[in-house]
Amino acid sequence: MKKSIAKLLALVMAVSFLLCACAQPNADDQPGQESPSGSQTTLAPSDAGNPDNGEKVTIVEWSQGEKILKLKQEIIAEKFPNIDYQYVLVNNNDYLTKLQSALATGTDVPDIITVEITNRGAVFDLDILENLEAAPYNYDRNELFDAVIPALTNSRGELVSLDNQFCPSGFAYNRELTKKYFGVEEPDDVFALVKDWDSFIATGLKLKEVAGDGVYMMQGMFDLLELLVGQSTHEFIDGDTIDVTGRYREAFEMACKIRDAGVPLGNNEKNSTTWNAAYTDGSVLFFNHASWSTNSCIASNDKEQTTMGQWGFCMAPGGGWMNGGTSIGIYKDSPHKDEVWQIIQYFQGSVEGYEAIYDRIGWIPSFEAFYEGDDAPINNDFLYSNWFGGQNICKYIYDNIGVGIAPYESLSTYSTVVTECFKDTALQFLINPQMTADEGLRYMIQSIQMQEPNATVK
Amino acid sequence: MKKLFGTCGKMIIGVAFALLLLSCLIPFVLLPLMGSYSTEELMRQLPFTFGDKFYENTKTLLEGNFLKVYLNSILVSAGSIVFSVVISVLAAYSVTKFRYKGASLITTFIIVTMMVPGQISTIGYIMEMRAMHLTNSLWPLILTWMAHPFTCFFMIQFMKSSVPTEVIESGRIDGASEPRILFSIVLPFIRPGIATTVILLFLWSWNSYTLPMLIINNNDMFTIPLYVANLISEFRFDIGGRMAALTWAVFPVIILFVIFSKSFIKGIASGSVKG
Repeated sequence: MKKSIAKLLALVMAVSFLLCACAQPNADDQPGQESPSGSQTTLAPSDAGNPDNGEKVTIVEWSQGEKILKLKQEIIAEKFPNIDYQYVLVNNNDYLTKLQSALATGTDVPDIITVEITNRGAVFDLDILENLEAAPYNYDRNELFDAVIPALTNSRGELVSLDNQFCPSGFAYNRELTKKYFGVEEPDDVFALVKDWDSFIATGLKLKEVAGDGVYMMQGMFDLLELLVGQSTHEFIDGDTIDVTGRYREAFEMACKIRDAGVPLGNNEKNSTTWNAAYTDGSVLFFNHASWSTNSCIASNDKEQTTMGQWGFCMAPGGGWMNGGTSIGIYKDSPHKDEVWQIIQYFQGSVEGYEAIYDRIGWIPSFEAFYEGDDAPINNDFLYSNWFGGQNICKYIYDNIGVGIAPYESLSTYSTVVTECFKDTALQFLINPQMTADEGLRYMIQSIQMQEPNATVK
Repeated sequence: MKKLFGTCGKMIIGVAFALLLLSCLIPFVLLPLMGSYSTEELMRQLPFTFGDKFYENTKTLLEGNFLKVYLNSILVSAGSIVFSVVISVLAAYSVTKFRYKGASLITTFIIVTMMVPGQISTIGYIMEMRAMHLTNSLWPLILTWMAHPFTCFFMIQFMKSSVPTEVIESGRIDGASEPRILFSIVLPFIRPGIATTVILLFLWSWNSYTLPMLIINNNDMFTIPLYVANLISEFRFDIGGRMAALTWAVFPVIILFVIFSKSFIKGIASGSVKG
């Protein structure tokens, strides 16, 4: 009998435990606040408070990269006491699926829609973002650099998103390696080694001769193609016609020329373990680098800071290009669009708001006011300045690459698929060292055509 | 000569099986091994002996909310197992040991629902959870396994083949109540089947990624697969930390399998043969 009672009690306790742990948030709890067990009770926008009653409203953003999200949370808590900013970590690979599922089911769509450049065409096409130039926002696109506007506007030409960071790019290099193999370390001297693609090939061959196997000019064909494709932007999607050949041929041919000349290129797939390891293992000389890369690629791959102070930055052969980037917009059905706009205006539109991000993360913005005047923040050091031996790479990027950089291509329904197929093709180049430019083009055209049977892909 | 070939053949088969076994075991050895080194050390070369960074890597995980995540996963798996086993046993007992109209229809319905791919029903399931106001809790991750067609089907097959109807009828003749018959007579017969269900459910719920990814909108409610996915995107460099996280993730699975392995094998074998 005792045994039975004990079993029954254990069962009741287990069920109670489950019920308590899985319980719905108490209606009396403040949304987003810590529950006694330490867990946040809810992050659903629809459950957020009412600002008219003086309650805090909860604003939710989904994104990856907890460092910047935590920083934003700290700043918002201090600057906007009426806003409780919460973030949910969502891997970029899952973002679109999760967003589409939330829209389809009507559950918990975030107030702030964060979009990586690769997803922008597809997300903008969902038509879920507020037009920031319309009332009550009335944002003036003239505040932005012209180059970024095509990547922030939807197919109707409405400005629906603002950049998290401005992404002109060049080469980051390890000064010790350039000094060891070529006797130079200052940016101008290093740039002289790679001032154009012929010089790049000659330097690569010399590196092969001096360093032997195991030291590479770049991390691999993937990075080289990304650079070349980025440098040769022009409109190539016209309605349902996608001109892959016109857009990618030149870049593919140049990449094959460099590879076939014998320039040592690594064999690393982008974002792979070995790709990340190359930042610290002394095997690669030049890395594609935008302002965000210092935090996300160099510092995050060098926890023990062994390469601090050893980095330099210079232009890449062929000039600058836009490399990656995220932007944010306001979800049309968010109950707290005004509060979201306050946040966006502060971080994406004010020098004061962006200064903290520049200081602590090393990003630079795409609005002009940040760079104007002698006391502009861009003239100051930031957290990662000492990684580049005192070289202010953000200022260098803005002065030498950002001003006059070629604009992003306009976004279309097909942009995301084209980008994904390009990545896949770049991977094929990496896997198959004999692949020609024509084969690459054929592969890419077939890949796009399979996914977009209604489009004319040539 | 024939004997020699026989011995050689056995040796070759033995070596082949040993190699197969080794290839299965290597990932389980590599996880803690790699988790005991820093990323920089791992980049230099793949280690063959244990390092001294496992504690440090685990500490890094605990500085995040790994403990909370771990508890969430345990809670989800434990809840899934309890509910699913209870429901599948009751369903199987009803369908196989009682004669009533519609029993075979229910069995057919269970089999038909098994044919529907989970991805198709996900959106509907999320909407259902939303209508029940359960989306901001761990309940959707538990309820999805509650009336799982496979566990019901497996238990039906197991009960059909392993529980003699005569024994149940003897119990009824002796005046035992139906719950008494179920708990005292039927359960001992189906213990291997329950063990198999427990292990399978634990594996499925523990490793489930898509549903938690779609439905969980709170970092504090992440389960291990979600946490590891975001650990990869945030700390893309920390291979040691990732391996330590995965080591802790597979630990309960191994423990559970060790405990239930005999019953598991017996359950699989018994369930596969109609008696």
